[in-house]
Amino acid sequence: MGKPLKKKDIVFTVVMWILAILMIYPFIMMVAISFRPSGQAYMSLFAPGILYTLRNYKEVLFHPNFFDWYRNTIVTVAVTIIIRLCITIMAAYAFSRLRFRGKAAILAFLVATMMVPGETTMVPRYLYFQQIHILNTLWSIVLPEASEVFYLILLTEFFSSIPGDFTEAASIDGAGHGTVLTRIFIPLSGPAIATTILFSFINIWNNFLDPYLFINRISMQLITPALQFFQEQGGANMPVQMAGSSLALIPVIILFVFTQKYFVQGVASAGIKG
Amino acid sequence: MSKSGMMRREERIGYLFIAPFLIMFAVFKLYPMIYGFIVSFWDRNSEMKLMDTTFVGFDNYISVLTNHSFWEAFGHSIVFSVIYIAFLMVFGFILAVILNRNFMGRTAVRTCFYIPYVTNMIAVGIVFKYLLNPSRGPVNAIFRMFGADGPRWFSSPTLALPTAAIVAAWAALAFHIITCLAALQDIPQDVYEVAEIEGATFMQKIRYIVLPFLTPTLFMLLTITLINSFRNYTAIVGLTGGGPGTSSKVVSLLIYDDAFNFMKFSIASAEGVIFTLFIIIVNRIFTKARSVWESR
Amino acid sequence: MKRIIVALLAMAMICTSVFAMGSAEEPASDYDRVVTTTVTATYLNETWFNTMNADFEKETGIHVEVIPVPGDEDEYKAKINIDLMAGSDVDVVETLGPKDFSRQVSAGFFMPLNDVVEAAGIDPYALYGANLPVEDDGNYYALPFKQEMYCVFYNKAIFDEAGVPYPEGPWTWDEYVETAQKLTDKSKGVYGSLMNADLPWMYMPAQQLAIPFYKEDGTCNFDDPAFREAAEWFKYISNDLGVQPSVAELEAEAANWNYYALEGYRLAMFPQGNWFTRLLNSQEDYPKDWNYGVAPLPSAGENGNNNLVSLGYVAINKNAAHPEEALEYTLWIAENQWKYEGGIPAFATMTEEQQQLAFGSIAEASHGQVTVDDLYQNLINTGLGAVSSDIVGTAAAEYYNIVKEELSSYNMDLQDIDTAISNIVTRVNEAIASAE
Repeated sequence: MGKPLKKKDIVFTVVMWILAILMIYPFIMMVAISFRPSGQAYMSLFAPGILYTLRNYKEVLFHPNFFDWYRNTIVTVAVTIIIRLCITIMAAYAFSRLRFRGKAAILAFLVATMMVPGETTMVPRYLYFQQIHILNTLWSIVLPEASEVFYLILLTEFFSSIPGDFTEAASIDGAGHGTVLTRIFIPLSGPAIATTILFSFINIWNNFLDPYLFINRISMQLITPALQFFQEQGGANMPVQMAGSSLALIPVIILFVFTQKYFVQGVASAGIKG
Repeated sequence: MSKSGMMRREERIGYLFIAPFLIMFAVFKLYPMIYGFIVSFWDRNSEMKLMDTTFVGFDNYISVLTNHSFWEAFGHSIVFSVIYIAFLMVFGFILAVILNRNFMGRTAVRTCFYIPYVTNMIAVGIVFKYLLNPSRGPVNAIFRMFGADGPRWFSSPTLALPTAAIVAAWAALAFHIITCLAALQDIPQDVYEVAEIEGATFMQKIRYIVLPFLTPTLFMLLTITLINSFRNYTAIVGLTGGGPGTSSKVVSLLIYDDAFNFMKFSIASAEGVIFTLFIIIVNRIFTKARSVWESR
Repeated sequence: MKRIIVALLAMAMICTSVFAMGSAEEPASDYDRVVTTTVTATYLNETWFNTMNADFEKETGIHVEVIPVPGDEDEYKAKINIDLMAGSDVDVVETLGPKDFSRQVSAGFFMPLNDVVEAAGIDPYALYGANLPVEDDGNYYALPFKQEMYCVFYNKAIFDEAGVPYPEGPWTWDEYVETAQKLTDKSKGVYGSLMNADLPWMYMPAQQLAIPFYKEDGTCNFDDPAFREAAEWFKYISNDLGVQPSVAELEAEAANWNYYALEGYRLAMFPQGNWFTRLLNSQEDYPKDWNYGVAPLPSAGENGNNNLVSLGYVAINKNAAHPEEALEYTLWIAENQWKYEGGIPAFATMTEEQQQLAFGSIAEASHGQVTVDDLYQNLINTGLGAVSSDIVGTAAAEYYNIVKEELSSYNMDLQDIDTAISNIVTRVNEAIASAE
């Protein structure tokens, strides 16, 4: 900031860096464990006598289904996000800009259903998906994820914050709502859409319980539950699972690091902050 | 076109636009909720009774409400949520405030703070079991340097649940930091400058500028955290598995066990319904509190 | 802006097509005859399992399609039940332990095998003797394909260091504890013994005495004094005598218990199932610098001269998509799996040749740490009778969980033994009542 560095500032910077290292220490540990034989999984970071090995990575990468899992996950995430964006943007536009009867009541009802934790409906979901024959397909993850009220609220709030003059000018030009939405709202909502994409990506990528319950075939599984295929007698094969987790994290971290800016912007301009 | 005609047209378009969302929602989200509600009144409580089942009214509810294990899990869920929410609200805010200051490598440090959020919970669980291991984990090694033995964390019946709650909260911290940071950026710079001129201390600035500005954000976060705090199945399974004994068995775990290990689908659904009612009530109270606070 | 929409649509189409690929039913098989089987993910990563299926395919021309369940054995059990209940058409199901098997049978998941097995020219009654799971209706719904027996593994280096002679059968639990006391040396981090903070270790002697888990009227029999005594004894040797890590300590580790035996502590003796030899022989996954030996499970007194035995069952789903192939695979598994897995077959008697087959590969993999004779003498020819290592009966799964929870709390000093036992009895009786 042009000012000379004060001692206080240096101390502050150092403290922040130490905190940052503490925050990623578990992550470092995860990577470290992924290079060990399973008998040594729980030794400390620099313990003597640790045999480092690439065997775990080999086991993950050479697993006949590893790329299936990766592909399934990417496809699921992509399809979910596309469907989610399409239907949510339309609904958010209607809720923020159009007047129709029952609007407030419908929105309030949707918000109320957010209170139902997924865990409490896993039984009925299982029984129901079985009846409509989407168990064992990726649709059992995609379709229920598509309509997430949280993102509807986020986008509705964001659209409400777009000044009214824009739309009025457009409607005087005789533009229909479809045009207003695609020509004005979507281009203006870059950060909010980026935020939706990122949060969706992270949540679906790390979803464990739903794919675990609803998908049986090994070639159909998603990456997070699929890591549980790496077992040995007596329990999980920790180092191999850690190796798999590290590999699974790569796309998320890349996405996160490169879009961090939008992330904050998106949240800032969208409604979440209040 | 007449005004009422335009209204009608707008209304039609409105319904048209919300229809895809509502249909998806009704078919894949709402229906399972209703289905669960219905199942909870039937007798699908063993693998044999899945197909030929009878209507039993409130029997499942009575059996859940009189069951000691349910109330125990219920209590655990509340303890988990309280700690989880408190940790996230306090530390999310504090960390956002300090990360908002300028220092060298701020972006890199921020990224470090976001990484736990993207790591999957099972991996987090495995690593934390090592970090908090009483005999060989680094955390207790620090305690031993000061001559204390240090707590037993996950294996202590009193600490397992709070520890799990804090680890789960730690993993979710990024969302709060980001949200608060975003809100902090909206505070006009001149407000700070005025405070600076008047010689306000750091704490005074927090108390009189930052907190009032962030109140709506914090309330919104509170609601979201409240909802998320009950989505704790993966965290608890990854960290404690409900143990030691039953000391960290929360409602989501109970529902899973009853449904999928013991095949008591109706009982599990009844547990889900009761728990949801509870969450709705708590949320009503929060909303009330918010409106009282704001109309002060 | 049109372009954006077009691009979005194109993307959607690409994704959907990829997706359709991903979600399509398994591609039409290239094989004429196929059999499907669900197993725990543990099998998936073991070479013997894949070799076995390849050999089966070579011999019969039937391709084995494996549907593994992610997670450990408990998760496997839960998941397989859900799927069978939901009407899965998987063909062959392997179940470990009579507790879970009897539940699956009473749920009516499996096909009775009497006619088909006998039509195949096999006399299962003679072959498997008491190990054949004949139900009350006179049918059997599975063939036993292996048995697992308990024994005591020990670390020879620790015995040598302490100058204590290696344990030999027959012996009693008192002798076991005495030996453990001689070996325990906390200053070197050595524990004389390790027993899992799990069932049946927490009441093992009572189970050796064959105390029934249910009273005659079908209610919980855990208030039998033998259970209390065994539970108190377990806590005494761990918490008071300190010859083994306490339950609190083991819970604190929260690691896979097999890790303690090999890396975490230096453990002199650990009662375990014979399958543990695979870990002890795996220098790659569990590097260790000591040799192991085998001793029989100590006796629990005159009426407790029994070893705990668990059985593995192979059954055919009643909704099987390929019943004929399923039968062939089932018969083949029952006859051959133990040879590949390095386990003990469930036959009523073992010939010399079968002993060689069962134990030869283990002895070989141990590089001289144990011999075929060591294994045979200490696992089979122990003079001990056999009792089931499981709880079998109404609401057995709940029974098991409740006992484990309550006894863990007792061992961690959260409640006394009276409370633990009265809690077990109340909760188990509730579970039994609601199951009926």
